[in-house]
Amino acid sequence: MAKQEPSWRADVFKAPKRGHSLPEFEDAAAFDLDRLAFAVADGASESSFARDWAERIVADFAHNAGENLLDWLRGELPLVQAEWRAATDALSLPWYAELKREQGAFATLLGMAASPAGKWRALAIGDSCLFQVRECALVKCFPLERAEDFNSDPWLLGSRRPVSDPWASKAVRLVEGEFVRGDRFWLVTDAVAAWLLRRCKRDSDWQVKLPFEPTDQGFSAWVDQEREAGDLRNDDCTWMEIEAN
Amino acid sequence: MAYSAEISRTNPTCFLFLIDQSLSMEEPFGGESGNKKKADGVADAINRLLQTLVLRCAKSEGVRDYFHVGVVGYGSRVGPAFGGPLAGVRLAPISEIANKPLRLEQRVRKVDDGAGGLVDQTIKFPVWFDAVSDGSTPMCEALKLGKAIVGEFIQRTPSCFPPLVVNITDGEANDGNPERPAGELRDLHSSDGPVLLFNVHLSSIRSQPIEFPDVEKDLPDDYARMLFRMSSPLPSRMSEAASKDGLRVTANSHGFVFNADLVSVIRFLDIGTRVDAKNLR
Repeated sequence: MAKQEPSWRADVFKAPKRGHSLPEFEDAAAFDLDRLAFAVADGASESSFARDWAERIVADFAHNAGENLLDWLRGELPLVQAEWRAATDALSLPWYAELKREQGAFATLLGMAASPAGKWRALAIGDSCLFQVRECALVKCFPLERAEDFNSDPWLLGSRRPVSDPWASKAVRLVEGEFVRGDRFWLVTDAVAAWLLRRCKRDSDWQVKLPFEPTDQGFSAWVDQEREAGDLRNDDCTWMEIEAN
Repeated sequence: MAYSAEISRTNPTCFLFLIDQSLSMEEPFGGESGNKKKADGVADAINRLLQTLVLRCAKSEGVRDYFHVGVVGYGSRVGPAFGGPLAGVRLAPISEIANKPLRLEQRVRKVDDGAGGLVDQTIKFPVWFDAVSDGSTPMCEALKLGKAIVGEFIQRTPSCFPPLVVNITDGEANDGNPERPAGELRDLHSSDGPVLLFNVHLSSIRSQPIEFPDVEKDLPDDYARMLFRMSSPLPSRMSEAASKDGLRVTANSHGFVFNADLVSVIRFLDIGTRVDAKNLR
């Protein structure tokens, strides 16, 4: 009997910073279940147009990333940058927004692509992280592995900066692995990633599973509770769960 | 822990600059700053700093009011020093500062042309504050006005990240001993800690600036020692910023620079007002 390919599912949960509304949310997430490409990005708060930039790069990754993720970075990303420039340079803005526009927008990017044959590969710029979970145990975390590794100055993908060396050789991280049916992948932005790494370190016997009811309300309630307890930094939070079943 | 409050639109912080506008500010800086008059150099530094603060708060949809900012001048008179539509305003939210400069100047700068060369680019340079140098040095009165402005701000936002007051002067007060009003200003506090008072002493002589000193007795004269005592210890976050910039700082360093040239004024203002972007909510 022919081996049946897994069916895929992806859900995205998001919660803005406390004191911010959802329209001010600067994370972005996108996926394409036909192409098995998934991405999250964290727009940098200090830049303008960061949400728009983050949304453009995840959408393009999900729709265009292929076998070689570096090909996407070198071939596709310059087109996304050109589209961003065309859209924002046309706007009439006050002096401060003009200066911010010249500086460009910035975001982290974590992109993952899977193949039906059981392989996956991922690309990271900055501190958005991937976790691979098998039967309530952590198999892989990427690109950061310790909560202490997070700082306020992560690598960022810029809307006006060419992706070339020496920057790219320092900023771009690549990884690949294998999965089996039933594996879950979590693609998360930094506040959630730091929470997960601290949780795993604090309790090595922790059954690694979603700590909330998988609904928007469930995620919001969990975020509120963890912020209140001081265990989750007050930042935009995105948690994409992907399952190969 | 003090100096850890989140800075948000509902819990903003405040920066207040007290600028000496006495006649001696007409003299040029010493050190490497060429022949630029101290008054012009300080006005440029403050305008650039205001621009930087606006840009830190500017988002696609507008400017978020993380900061309230004021500039007080002291010379022939003591009072708010903004020009144009903000004239007479003691403390303004940063969005109002962004939208109400005195004028927008056109300045030319060199930028990369993308093909290995440089081209001229005209940029808008906002100006809020013009140089003035006239009269004596009523520093005590300026510190008292600073206390009133910051006190009102703390009453409105009692859990704010403590306000920072930076006093920039080239001479000694001639309306009394400023240590007392400086102490009263530093005694104000929010629930996150005492108000920070930093002092910048400008020099007309060629002399090495003394930045963030940590021992009073090593300073060259009584006036420098008094300004050291008037200055708050540097909170750890600012110590880290100074250290990152290659400056020698210790746990006892104070927010004070003596014999500052223009470069050290700009660096000092940047370190004092640098806020971790992750703390802006």
